[in-house]
Amino acid sequence: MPNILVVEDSPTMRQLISFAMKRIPNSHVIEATDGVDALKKMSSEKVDLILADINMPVMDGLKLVSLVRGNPTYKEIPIIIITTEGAEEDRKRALSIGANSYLPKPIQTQELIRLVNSYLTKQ
Amino acid sequence: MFEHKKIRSVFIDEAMERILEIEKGLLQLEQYPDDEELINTIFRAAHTIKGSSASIGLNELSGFTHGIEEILDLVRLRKLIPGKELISQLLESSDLLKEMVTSLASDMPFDFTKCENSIIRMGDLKNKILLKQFKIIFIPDHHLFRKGLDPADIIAGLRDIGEVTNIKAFTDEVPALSEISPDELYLRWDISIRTDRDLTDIRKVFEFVEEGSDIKIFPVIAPDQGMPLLGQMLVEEGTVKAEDIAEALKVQKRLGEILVEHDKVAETDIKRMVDKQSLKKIELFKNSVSSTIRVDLKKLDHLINIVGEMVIIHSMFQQIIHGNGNLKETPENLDALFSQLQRIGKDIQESAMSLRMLPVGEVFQRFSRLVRELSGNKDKRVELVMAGEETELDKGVLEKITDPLVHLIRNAIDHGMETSGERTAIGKPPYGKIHLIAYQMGDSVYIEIEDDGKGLDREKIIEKAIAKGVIKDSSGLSDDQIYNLIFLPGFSTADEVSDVSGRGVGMDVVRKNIESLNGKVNMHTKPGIGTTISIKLPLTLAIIDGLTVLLGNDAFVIPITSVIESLRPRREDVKTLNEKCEVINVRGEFIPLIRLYEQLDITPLKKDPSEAIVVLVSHENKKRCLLVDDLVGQQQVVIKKLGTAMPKVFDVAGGTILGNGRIALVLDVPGIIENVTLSV
Repeated sequence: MPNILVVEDSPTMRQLISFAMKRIPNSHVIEATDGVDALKKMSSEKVDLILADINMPVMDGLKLVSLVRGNPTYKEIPIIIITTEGAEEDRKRALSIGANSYLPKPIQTQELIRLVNSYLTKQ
Repeated sequence: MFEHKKIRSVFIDEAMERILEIEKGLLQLEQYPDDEELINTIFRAAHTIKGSSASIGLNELSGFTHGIEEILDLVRLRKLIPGKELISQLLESSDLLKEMVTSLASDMPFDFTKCENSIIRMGDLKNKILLKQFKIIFIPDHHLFRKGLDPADIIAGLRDIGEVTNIKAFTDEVPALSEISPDELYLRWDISIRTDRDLTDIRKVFEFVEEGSDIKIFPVIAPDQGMPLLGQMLVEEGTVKAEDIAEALKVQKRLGEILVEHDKVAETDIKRMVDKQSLKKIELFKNSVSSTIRVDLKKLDHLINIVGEMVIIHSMFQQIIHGNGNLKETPENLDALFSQLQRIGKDIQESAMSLRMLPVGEVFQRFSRLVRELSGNKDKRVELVMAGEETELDKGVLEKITDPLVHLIRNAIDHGMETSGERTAIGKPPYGKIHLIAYQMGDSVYIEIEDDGKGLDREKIIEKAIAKGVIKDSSGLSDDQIYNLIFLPGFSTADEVSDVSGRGVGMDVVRKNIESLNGKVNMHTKPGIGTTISIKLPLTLAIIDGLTVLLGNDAFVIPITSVIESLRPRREDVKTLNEKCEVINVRGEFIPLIRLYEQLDITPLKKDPSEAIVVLVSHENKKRCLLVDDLVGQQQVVIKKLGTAMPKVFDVAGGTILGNGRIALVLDVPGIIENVTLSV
């Protein structure tokens, strides 16, 4: 049963992604509101994939990516970054520090499911 | 379909909260334009609304928010300075955003053409404000011409990178014609330029003439760079003195005054419109109250935690009853379980109540906006200082207290505050201050509105009270008693109806509203120094401490806040005055007796006060003795409404279920005291 960690400060986006993930059989969504919260959740639950927003309070998505990649226990977990449309800079930086892929906002549900599925089946 | 609705309602909650964040942030930004964290917070709020609305297909809303975000981004990058014009525009845009979300919540279509003006103005703001203003003092090398250079080229170079808004050549060093040398340069220039380039780019224009010249370039920071103010430009140029501008601005008139002067419109019409305008502001303000509630996750987790414990107790009881575990049915075990159950029950009750509690800041933060707009209407400058925003109050109480607070704040601005001119004349700072303070003490929450205005006019109140027949004369009344007269019905000291308050809704309505919440309101004033209005509110409406009493075959609950004491009077202490009014002598004080059974139409067990019990209650300094058969005890009860099927029931505030499962009515002590007229 894959655990998907959704790191988003917007409850609307969390809800939207959670509903989309219901279409992935057996998947379970863990919600976190920012980078720090995400790390907290990761220490208590096994996470198979991370979906993270970039612009968040407390700890942003980029910092989270670099911390996850720097930790031997977590470094293999696939990370998909959710970016604002047209934010090329953020996207490049996220990929350069170890995010596996990105998804632009507004999120297209089909695209999201396809992307998540492709990483889950790789494992 | 269900998912779609669910996401939408989450979005509405989120967007509303973010919009409030934006609004609050903008108002703070006006005071602290350099606060980076503040700008980031506002930007992030707009950014989030944009992202989530786009993802759920609200493209127009998202597009509009994008416009707001772009401006905030420029502020964040320091390309824009958050001046008054900019903040006002953003506040207006966030109002529109709020309207969009509100209509989304009520499933009403929103007319997006309403936003067009706002979008255009935001665009203007963006385009103009991208430009920075620089002032250049250019004192060229005297031998510039000899080097084959021409200052005209420099000016042309400046025109290439921006708009040269002002050039002034100084000719004071030009010698007499006979002494002029044609290859010498005697002029110097002051140049103003508006450009999107940096200082280094401007310096580059002067690259070749730098040697031997004196060139000073400095950025000009105006409050709103887009539109330099006329006065400022004149002062900058040295044409007019700053004091003269200030003097001129003082006599500048408002649109309404000018129209009246030119006989285009009657003064009363202007007053009526301004009145309408502020009503509208208040209307807008009221509509922003939502009917959902956001709960701190910690509170919810705590509740679930206790419910978990409850389940454990349940299974322990099961073991005892079925005898299938280690727990045996011993008095000790039962006793221990029972006390645990009691603790958990109390915990659940407290925890469930806390879910309804909201920080007063949710309402307070909207007041800064109100104050800003209401004080803008008049020649008054008022600053709202808030404290204790984190104090929590029941959501129901909080909603009902909003209107009275609006009224009190309006009053403070309208009647309490002097104009800045008046303030300066008496040596007060031109800015008036209204403090809005909330704090909790015991089971009550206090909200205080304190202004540093002129205070109440004691003589005027007495005069008015006598004219209205409220009092006969002022002898024997303390100052506080006199000031609190303004809470009586039909009392308004303002001789004219003004644009902000005094629309006939008097302080008595404020008092009534607050008392319907079991609250109290009090006023202290010091002439010339200011007025403090203190509101005391119960933490919650739903649970009260009650004294359970018996009367006939029924039990009644008297809210403990009204009870002073209970006693059995001696026969000789029960007296009748004028053969009509019964009183009880309580340690020398004669207090009227109300035979509750007559009031409630019940056959009592005891009619003689010296065999029954009297409960001494008070409301607003009026004391009464209520005659009941017996006391049961003090306990917390949950008040429930009697339901809409009942006609208005006097003397009863609601019903409750007692520990023994029976229903008891909760008595409305203020109502009883008001209703029973004493025939003295």
